[in-house]
Order: sequence, then structure tokens, then C-alpha cells
Amino acid sequence: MGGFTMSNRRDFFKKLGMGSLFLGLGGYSFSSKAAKNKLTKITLLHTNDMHSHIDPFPESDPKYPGLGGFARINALVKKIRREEEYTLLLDCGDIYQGTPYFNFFKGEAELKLMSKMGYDAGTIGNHEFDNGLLGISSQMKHMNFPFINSNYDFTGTVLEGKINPYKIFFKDNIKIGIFGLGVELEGLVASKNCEGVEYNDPIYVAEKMVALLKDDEKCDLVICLSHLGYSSDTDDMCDIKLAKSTSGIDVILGGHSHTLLETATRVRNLDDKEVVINQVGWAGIALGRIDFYIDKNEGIKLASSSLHSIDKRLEA
Amino acid sequence: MLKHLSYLLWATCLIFVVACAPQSQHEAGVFDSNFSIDSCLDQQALKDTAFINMISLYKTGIDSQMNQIVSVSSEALMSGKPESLLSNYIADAMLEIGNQYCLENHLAHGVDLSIINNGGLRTSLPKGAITTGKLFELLPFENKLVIIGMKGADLKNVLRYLAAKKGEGVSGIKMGIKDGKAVDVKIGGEKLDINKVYHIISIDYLVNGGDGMNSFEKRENFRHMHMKLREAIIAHAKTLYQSGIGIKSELDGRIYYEQ
Repeated sequence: MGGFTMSNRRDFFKKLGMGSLFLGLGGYSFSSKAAKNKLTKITLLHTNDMHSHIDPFPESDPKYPGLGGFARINALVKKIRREEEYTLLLDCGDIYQGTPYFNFFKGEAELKLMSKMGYDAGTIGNHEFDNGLLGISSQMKHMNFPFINSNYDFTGTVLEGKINPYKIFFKDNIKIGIFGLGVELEGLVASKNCEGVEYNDPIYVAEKMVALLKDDEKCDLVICLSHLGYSSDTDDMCDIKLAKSTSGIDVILGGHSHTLLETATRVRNLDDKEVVINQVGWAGIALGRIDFYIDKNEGIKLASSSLHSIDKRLEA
Repeated sequence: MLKHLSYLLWATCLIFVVACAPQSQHEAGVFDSNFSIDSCLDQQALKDTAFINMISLYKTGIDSQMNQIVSVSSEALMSGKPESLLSNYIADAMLEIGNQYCLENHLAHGVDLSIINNGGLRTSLPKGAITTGKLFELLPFENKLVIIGMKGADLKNVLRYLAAKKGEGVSGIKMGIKDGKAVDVKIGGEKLDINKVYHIISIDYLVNGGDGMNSFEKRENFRHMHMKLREAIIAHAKTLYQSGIGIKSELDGRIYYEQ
């Protein structure tokens, strides 16, 4: 997906107006001032399905030897934030459950550490319900970032009014709208743990969110934090289906299926525009990064996963 | 339709390799669009002492308990379908735990088969020492063990579920999966008897319809064992290890895909 053809490469550099400068400058931090029109670079960093894996996997682990670790993610995020002016750090759900940290501290450790890392927002995964609705509401005092979900109706529950249906962020002159979609809970979460929560159809809700964020609020970038899962071999709801069945979503950052994507996937939406979908495995084994270059006046958006090895790639 | 070419100029996915060290042996190539989180970040990570201290605050509270060695595994065990070393190990242990329980409680029956969903096995077991903490990672949920009695005729619904799931962790049963259906089913070496009542050890989550399992509804009897799966597995592994038997498992074709 998202093949690197000569024509779109040329367009990319033409728009940036500095193709030659780009070449051979791995790690070069793009300066928007150099472009003819002002391009703002927005760096999205994201995780999913952290599952309480605060410590790295040991070297003896058969699948993920020596990978992961909150302290390392913290260091990498801080490094990128020193390099980039406009970043957002986002999580796509299932922060809870997977190591003794959760059994003993009920989410406090994960949420406090993620707050310290500077997360800007997260969405709710099915395992956030593992200790019931109180297991979420009672731990929220440990977090300084919002939970965003748009398709669970918490009316009449302890979470009523505590979960944001969407949130708007401003970076430079760019307006970024973020909404969140969670997976069907029935048959997945024990009914006593999600009692009173109403699940609404993700596509229906996404359309309403896009109307609000893109049409009414005039957001330049619309991001969906999803815990629906990447793909489905049946016709179940998933990020691919969501992208194809809607319009107006620019990026879907995903979770739930623990999918480790080599490159972000690009899917055409109902308007034949590209939607970028990314997901980075689980347990903090990777940090996702998508850089956007946005020209607010012309409505132009360019996405790249990163620039660090751009030189290497161009030789291919 | 491309109305405005510039409008959808997501030019392309310019992918980078990795922020720091070369991608060594860790599934090379997989991480090339996103950052791998590995030891090359340690030097930087340790500089944020406030962050490290916050982790330690939680870690020191549980480490002494979590670092206890429960047993030793002769090889790495991973989960997978239709059968796997890890799911076979847990399902076999559950069958033994169930039979032990029936014996201790002077029940007129034992357990005929065990069922555990692969989705409930949340990490792999490495070769070597297995700590309490590792078994918490493998079985983090607070799921409790239950025994249910079902007629063979009703058990067929459960077998259909196992087939639809392309296999789950089972013990005491041998079955093929063909076109999404269970075939050549043998329980305890015998053909399925639709009139006989079979006893199954599983977890409350599944029996209550978790993971899409809704085939346990028609049953003859139901018993809570009042113990968590994790605690039962830890106790079972500990007892065996004390008598010199470590964690081991094998693939024996208990669930297979028939062509």
C-alpha cells in the first residue's frame, strides 16, 4: 500500500519546494519557513494495546526479546519533542491488563506514567472495562490527559460526562479534531463490567463526528483513535472498513488486533481520498509516527511516516 | 475521481528505518516504518530519573512476590491454532486440576475435557525459569474455574464453536476440523455419546458467553470451583516442580485441520 512512485514523489518534493535539500539529509528537521507557502509540520506519535507492559520483555521472551518499556518510550518521545515543534502523543486503548502492575495497582501505575510521558489523549479499549466502569472512573484521577470515545453512550453510568466524545487541539495555526471509536462490547466484555453502556455503530458515529469536526468546526485534520481492530476476514467492523465506508477522516490510529504494520496503510474513502491507517503491535514494542505537512490555505496535506531514513529510501 | 490533485496529495509513505541502532535480530524489517522500542534507548531512558523512580515505586512493592520461581520450562511455549505447546500445557493442567478437585470433593465424576480460549493466554513462556510474574502475564485475568455437565447432544454446540474458532486450547478430546465443522470426535478415546453427560472444566468468562461462546447454555449442572485459573495453574506447577517435574508440553494432534 502507499507505493512510492516517481510521480507522487515528484509532487511531494515540488510542494515542499525543496526537493534537493531533502535528499541525503537523513534526520533533517524540515523548516516550514523555507517553503514558499507556509507548511506546518504536525507529528503524530502513537501507541496501542500497552496492556500494562511497563517493563520491557526479557531477552528470553520467545516473541519479543528485549522489546518495549515505558521508560524507553518516554525517552524517545522526549527526544522527538525536542526536535519537533508540533507533536501529539496518542494512545488507542487497552492500557489496562497484562502484567501484575494492573492486578495490584488497578491502572494507577500505567495512567500516572503515561501522564508523565505527556500523552495528549487516549481512547478506551475493551480491557479498560476489566474492573467494570468503576475500574475506569476511580482511576481517572491518576491521569492528566482525556479519554476520548464517541460511540459508547455512558448516560446514567458513573462515567457519564467523564469521557470526551471528541477534542480539538490547536498546533500553530492548525486545528486538529480527534474522536474515538470503541469495539462492540457484547460477547467480549463480561456484561456486568459494562452494564448500562450503549454501543453505537462506528460508521454512523464517525459520520456525525466528521460533520461536526470538519464541516462545523473546520478542523484541518481529523483523527480517529480506534479500538476496532485493523482488518476482518468476515464483514466485521474494522479500521479498513471504517476508512472505506466514510469520508472526511484523515487518519485512523488503531488498536485491538495488535497488528504491527510495517508501513502505514492507505485506503481510499467514499470520496476517493486517502485515509492513513496505522497500528504498532502491542505492549509498547513500537512507537508509531506519522508526520503531516499542512498548508492551511490550500488545504494540502502531505503525510509521511518519518524522515529519518529518507535518503536510504530514495536510493532504492 | 480526483477533483483537485493537490487536495489529496498524501504524497507517499516515506518510511524510515529505526531511530537508533540497526535492526538486529528482532524481526528485522517489521519495524521499518515505526520506531522499535529496544535497548538502544536505555541510556537516554535512564537519564529521566523522576520517571525511573516512579516505576520503581510500583515495582519494588511487588517484585519480591513476582520474582519467585514457580517452575522451569524445558522449552519456549507459545500459543497458536489449531493446537500449540502453550494451549496444550494449560489445557492439560486444567484437566488434572479438575480431576484432582473432583477427587478431593468426593464427586461421583471426574472431568472429561477442558477448554481454554487462546485469547486468554496473553504472553509466551520462555525456556527456563518461570516466575509468578510471568504467570500473571500469561493469565492476567481474574477468571475463575468452573465445571459444567452437558449431554453429548448439547456438547456438539461447544464442538461447533471450537471448530468455528479454528481450534482453542483443549485436553481430553481429539477432533478434526473440516469446513468449519468438528469431525471424528473422540472424548477419552471414545466416540461422542449423545446421551452421556460429560463434565467440562473451563473458565467463568467463557461459560458466561465471553469470546463469542454461547454454547454452554444448555447444561445439566454447573459448579464453581472457587479458584482463579491463574492461582490454580501456579499451585499446580509449583507442586509438580517440587516433585521434580518441570513445565513441559507436546503437540499430539488433539485438534487438527482435516483436508
